[in-house]
Amino acid sequence: MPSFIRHLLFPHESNNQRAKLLHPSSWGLIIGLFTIFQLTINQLTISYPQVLGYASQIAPETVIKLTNLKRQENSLPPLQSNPELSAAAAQKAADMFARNYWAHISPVGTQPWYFITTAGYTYRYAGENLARDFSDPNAVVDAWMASPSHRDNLLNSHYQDIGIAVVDGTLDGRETTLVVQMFGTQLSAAPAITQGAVTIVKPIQAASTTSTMNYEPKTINPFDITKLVSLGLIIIFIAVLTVDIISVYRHKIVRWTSKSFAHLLFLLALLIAALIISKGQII
Amino acid sequence: MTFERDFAHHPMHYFTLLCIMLVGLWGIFWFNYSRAVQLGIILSMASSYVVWGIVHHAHHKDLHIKVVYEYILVALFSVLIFASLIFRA
Repeated sequence: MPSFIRHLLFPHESNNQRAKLLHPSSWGLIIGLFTIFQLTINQLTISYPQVLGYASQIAPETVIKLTNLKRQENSLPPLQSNPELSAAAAQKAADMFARNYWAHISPVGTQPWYFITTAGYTYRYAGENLARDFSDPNAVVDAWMASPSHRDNLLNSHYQDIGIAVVDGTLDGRETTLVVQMFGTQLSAAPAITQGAVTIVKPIQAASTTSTMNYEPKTINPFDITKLVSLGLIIIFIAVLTVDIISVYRHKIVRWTSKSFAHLLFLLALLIAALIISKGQII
Repeated sequence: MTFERDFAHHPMHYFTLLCIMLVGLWGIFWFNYSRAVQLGIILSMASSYVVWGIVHHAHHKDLHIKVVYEYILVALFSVLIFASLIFRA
């Protein structure tokens, strides 16, 4: 093993029986470098939005394709892409950004069905799935499939049409991507049975958001880079601390330092917390 | 003092630390809808962690400014990582 790697990652005489990475100077250096990295990413996002930006990597067509794949796996007919439902989904996403909410029903009581009917789609059956903070269409559909209520929507045999909107914008002060999935069956497609009453409150116009209905993947999501670096750093430190604890235990090393086991517990908690906050949400 | 002796002599210290982490994680999970509350929780966890380190080493009678500095650096690192993820920097 190269001596530099051993010096950096493993307890040894050269590093006073403690991996150099765990020395205070190394922690300080990592903190400094990470801060510079974050400032650079932010600056690049502002200066070169065409390269590094929050434009979504999720293509609506892919979400439809994946949804239909799941339906086919369950012996259900595929859904047809419907422009009215897509327009309704885009309007719903715009309303969420404009009113700054994350829910099926807006703070002023607007229900999803309002967007569907105002888009010109007269429904017999209708449903809605929402997702945010995902950067991969597979992850979105997998998350929906893992949730019983969303899965019921995806695999509902009553639906014939589907509309998707993937919209980037700012929610709660954070750049995010909303995925709105709307299902429906036209009233004319089957005997008329009206679904429940709908409370209608006129939604306000869309704010400065960008729909990715015409999908053109061209940017790298800076959050993906941040997530990769952050989780990578935590995992490296957890690995080095684990090796340190084992090595100290096996060689009965006595040191006057902080407790590696305490650091390990804290970083494991941080890793779990980081995974909780960095994953996408569905409702 | 070796690790196993430390652990055997102060099981309550580590149990307390584990409880702090578990309660903090529960809070972060529970308040998933509020980034501000989550940030407050991680700041509390980090502060508690530094205090835990000081108390633990004071009991051991091996408290030194360099040791405190190490706990502060680990706590600072954690808050920085968490904040960068929470604000999608």
